Amino acid sequence: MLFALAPERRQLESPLRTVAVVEDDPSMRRSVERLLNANGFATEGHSSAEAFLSRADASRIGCVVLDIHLGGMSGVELWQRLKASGVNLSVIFITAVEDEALELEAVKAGCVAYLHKPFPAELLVSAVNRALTVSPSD
Amino acid sequence: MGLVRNWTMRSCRLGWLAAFCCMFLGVVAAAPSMSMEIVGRVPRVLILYPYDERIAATTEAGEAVRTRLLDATKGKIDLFSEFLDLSRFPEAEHVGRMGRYLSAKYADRRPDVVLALGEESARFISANRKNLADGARIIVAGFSSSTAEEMDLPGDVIGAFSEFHILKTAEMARELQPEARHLFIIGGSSEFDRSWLATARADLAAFSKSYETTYLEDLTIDEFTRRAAELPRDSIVLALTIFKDRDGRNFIPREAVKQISETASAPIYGPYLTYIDYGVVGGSVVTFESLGKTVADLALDALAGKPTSNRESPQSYVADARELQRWGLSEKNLPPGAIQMFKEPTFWEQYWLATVAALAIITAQGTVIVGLLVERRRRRAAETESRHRLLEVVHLNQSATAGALSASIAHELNQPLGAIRSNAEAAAVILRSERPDLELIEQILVDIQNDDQRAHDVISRMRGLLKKRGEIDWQEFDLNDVTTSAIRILRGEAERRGVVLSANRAPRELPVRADRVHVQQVILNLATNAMDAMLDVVTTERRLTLETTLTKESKAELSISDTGRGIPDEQLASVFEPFYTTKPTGTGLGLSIARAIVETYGGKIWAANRPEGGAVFRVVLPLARNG
Repeated sequence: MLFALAPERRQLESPLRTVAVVEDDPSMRRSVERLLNANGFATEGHSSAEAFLSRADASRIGCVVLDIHLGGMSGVELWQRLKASGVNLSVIFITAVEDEALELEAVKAGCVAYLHKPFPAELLVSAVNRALTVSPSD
Repeated sequence: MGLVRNWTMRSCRLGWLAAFCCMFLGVVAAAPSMSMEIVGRVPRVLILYPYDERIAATTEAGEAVRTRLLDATKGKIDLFSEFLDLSRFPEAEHVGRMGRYLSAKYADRRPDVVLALGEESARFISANRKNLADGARIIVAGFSSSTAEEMDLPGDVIGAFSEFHILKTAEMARELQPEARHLFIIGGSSEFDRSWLATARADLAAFSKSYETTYLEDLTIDEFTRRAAELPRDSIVLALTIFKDRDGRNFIPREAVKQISETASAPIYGPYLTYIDYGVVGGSVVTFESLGKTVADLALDALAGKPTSNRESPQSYVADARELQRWGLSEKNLPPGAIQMFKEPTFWEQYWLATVAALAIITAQGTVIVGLLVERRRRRAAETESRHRLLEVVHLNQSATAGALSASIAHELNQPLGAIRSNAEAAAVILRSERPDLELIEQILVDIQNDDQRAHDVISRMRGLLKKRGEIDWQEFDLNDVTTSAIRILRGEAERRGVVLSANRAPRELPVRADRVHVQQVILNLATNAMDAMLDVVTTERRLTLETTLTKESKAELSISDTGRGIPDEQLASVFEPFYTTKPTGTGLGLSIARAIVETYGGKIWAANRPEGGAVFRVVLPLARNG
C-alpha cells in the first residue's frame, strides 16, 4: 500500500516540492489537500486558475493537481498558458465531468494522470509521486 | 219574472219542435222558377225567426244561414233579421200588427228573398207577402214537406224541408248495439204520434225482423216510464213522438222522452236533434248547420236567378257522448262522420296544440340542454385530455432536459462524492498516524456531512426535475425562488460549457400561481436554448443572465438573455412553433412547450434580439396577489 510508505522518505527525495491544488470547489480542494498532507505532501490551494497564476511561486511547486472545470479560465487553458510561458509543471487533472475527447487530449499532451472524481486516494498519491519523481526540470 | 220567462221560452220551443216532428213524406212539389233581377245594389235577404232571439234552435239555424250567405257572397249581401215572437204572441192582432209594422219598415228596402224559419214564419210571410215583400222569393225551412202541404203555402214558395228517417236512426242503433235482440218503438197517442207509428212500422218492417220487436203505444206516461225501466239490457229503444199519452196528457215530446229515459234500462234513440240532451243516445237528424246550409243555398240560387225547387236538408248522425258512456257503447261503432255532442274533450283533445307546443319546447330545450351538457362534457374531456397531453409532453421535456443536463448533474454529484472520498481516505491515514489530529478529523467529518447534504440536494433537484404530474399541482410561490433553484441545476451545465451564469433578482417577492416544476421547466428550456445559442461564441464571451423584475403592469417577469447569435428577425415569431429548430440535435419542442406552459398559467412569452447582441426571452406571469 502506498500510504504505508513513510512520508519522510519522499520528503527526503523532494524536500522543497509543494503540490499545488487548483480547485474551485472549496470542499473538494480541502479534501484533496488533507489527503495529500496525510500522505506527507506539502500543499497549497488555489480556488481558480487566475488565482494560481497571480500567487503561485512556480519554483516551489513540484506538481499541480488541477481541476478542469474552474470558474473562468479552465484547467486545460491554465496548463497551456503555463507551457506557453515556459513553465513546465507536471499536471494531474482531476475532474467531475465525463469528457473523453478532453481526456484524450490531456493524456496526449503529457499530463501525469487524469482522475475522475471521486477517485481512490492511491491513484492520486501514486500520480503525485510519479509527478514529483519525474523532475520537471529535466 | 224568471219563472214566467222560463215558461214562455219552453212554450216557444213547442212550435219549433212541432216543426221538426213531422211525418216523413217523400213527395216534393217542384216550385216554378222565377227570374230575378237586382241591379245596382247588393241583394237583400230578410230572415224571419218565429220566436224571440233567445231560442237556440231557430237562432242557430239562422246563424248558419247568415254565415253561409256572407261567405258565399263575400259579404256583398244585406241581411235583415226579424224575430216575430209568434209563440208568445200568437194572437191575430199581434200578427197583423207585426205584418203592418214590417211592411212599413221595409217599404223602401223590399227584400229580394225572404227566408222563413219554422211553420209560424212560413204562415206569417204567406199572409203578409204582398205588403212586406212583393216580388220576393220565399223560402221556408225547418219542417217537413208534408207539413208544408197541410199549410197550403203559395205555389211559388220553395222549401228546405227536414224529413225524419227512423230507419237510419235504427241502423245507427244496430251499429252501436250489435248484440241487441229486442227492439222497442215508443209512440204517443196523438194523431201525429199514431201516424208516425204507422210510418215507422212500414219503414222498419225489414229491419225489425232481426229483433223481437214490440211497439209500445197506447200507454200513459207512467206506463211508458215503467215499461222502459224493465226492458232487457240487449234492447234498442226508438222514440218517435209523444205529443199526447193514452190519458190525453199533452207533452213536448222531448220532455216525455226525457222522463222515460231517466229510468230506462236500455238505450233510447230518436230522429230529432232536439232529443239530444234529453236522454237519448242519438239518431239520424237534421243539424242546424245542415238546415242553414240548405236554406242559404236555396237563397243563393234564387238570388242568382237559377231555377229552384224544394230540397231536403241532409241528415247527420248525432250522438250524445254522455249517453254512449252511460250505456257503455263504443264510439268506434258510430257510423262514419257521426257528430258527438257533449263530448268531454280529453286533455289531449282540449290542449293538443298547447301540449304539442309545450312538448316541442321542452323537447327543444331538452335537446339544447343535453347538447350543451354533451358539449360541455366533451369540452371538459377535451380540456382534460389536452391538459394531460401537456403534462405528458412537459414530462417528456423534463426527461429530455434531465438527459441534456446529465453531464452537469453528474458533475454536481461527483464533486461532493469526490470530496467525501478524499476526506474519508485522508481521515483513515490520519487515524493511523501516531498522534492523530482529532480536530482535523472533526473538520473532515463536518465537510463529509456537508458534502453528503450537497449530494442529497442534487438528487432532490433531480427528482423535482423529473417529477411526473398526473394533474397540475397548483401552488403559489416566488418566481425568484424557482429561478434560483433553476440556476442551481444549470450551474454545472453552464460551467461545463464555459458559460458565465449570472442572475439579477428582483428586490421584492414575485408571487405567482402555477405548478412550480412547470415554471422551472420553462426556465431550464429557455436557459439551455440560450446556452446552445452560444456554442459558436468565444468562451470568454458566453454569458447567460437570468433576471426577474416586476413590470409596470404589476406582473412578474423573467428574462433570460444570452450573448449568442441572436434570432433572425423574421423568425422571432416562429421560434415557438413546434418542431422549429436551428440546432442539429434539437427537437424543436423546448420553446413550444415553454409557451404551452406559460399560456396555461395565463402568461405570455416572447423573444427579442438585444441591441448589444444576443437574444432575450421574456416570460410574464400574472401576480398571484399584489403583496
